[in-house]
Amino acid sequence: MRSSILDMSQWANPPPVGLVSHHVRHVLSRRTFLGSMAGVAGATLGTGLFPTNVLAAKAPNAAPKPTSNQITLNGVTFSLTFFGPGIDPSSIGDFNGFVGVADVQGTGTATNPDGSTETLLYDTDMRFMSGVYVGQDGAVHKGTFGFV
Amino acid sequence: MDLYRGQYDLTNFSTQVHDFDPGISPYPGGLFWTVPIPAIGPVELGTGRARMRATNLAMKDYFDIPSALFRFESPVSVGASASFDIHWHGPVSSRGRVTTAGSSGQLVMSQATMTWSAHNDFGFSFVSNPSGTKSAFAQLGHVKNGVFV
Repeated sequence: MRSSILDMSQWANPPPVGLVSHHVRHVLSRRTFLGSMAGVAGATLGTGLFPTNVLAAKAPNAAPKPTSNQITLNGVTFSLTFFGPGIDPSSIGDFNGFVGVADVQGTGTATNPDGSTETLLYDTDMRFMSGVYVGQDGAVHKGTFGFV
Repeated sequence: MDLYRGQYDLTNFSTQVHDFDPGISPYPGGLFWTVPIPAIGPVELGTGRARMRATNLAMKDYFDIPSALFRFESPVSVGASASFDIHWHGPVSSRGRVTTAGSSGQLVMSQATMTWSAHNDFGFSFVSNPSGTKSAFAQLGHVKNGVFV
């Protein structure tokens, strides 16, 4: 388990100064959306009774709803989840099914637009969610989704 | 799926050169890097085995994680496509319950290997080396959240 501190002031290509809060240091990395929940804002999800207004909603499609777990970075709020021991890695909400997480590292061959080749390192955060979910249309659907 | 030149910099991303992901829709609060994929094979929690694969999945290349999150580069991204094949093959090293508030279920720690390839509309392409991969974290489970808890 590793965690990274997101210090945007040190990024090679930092966001515009106006977007950067130097007081904001959040745990974030595609590689390491791991156990530490420091910096997570509003990481709660309703439990208990099925909300009847969900069934009544008339959203336009059967796409899943994003997880209600939210993290705010630099003033921007994302709906995302970490992974780690004991942590529900689902990136969709109102979900019941199988999940998988694979953080794999390795190397490979890159071919650049000019035809040159080089060896690059890769790091992945790949997940699947396969089961039933309440879609944005309020209906229960069956499906498989990848967090890529 | 992230590419780094020379060495990993998982803190400041200074060495990252490509970031393939399907985007956030709608941005910024919508589905995060999540898209439909073909049905997966059987998930065997007892042995820690499963398989996830996709071919020519529509992606974007945001070049690095900061750009993917805050979209400040120009162009923000370019069109891309990726294929991958991931095997969870065990053995199961530990089991535990989901402790996330609002969720329930069981999780098992496993091992994974992966091969993948991607290309972008600028003419860049990448093919992973099937050997020498490291399973940094691999997990399978069955979870419930939201209205299903």
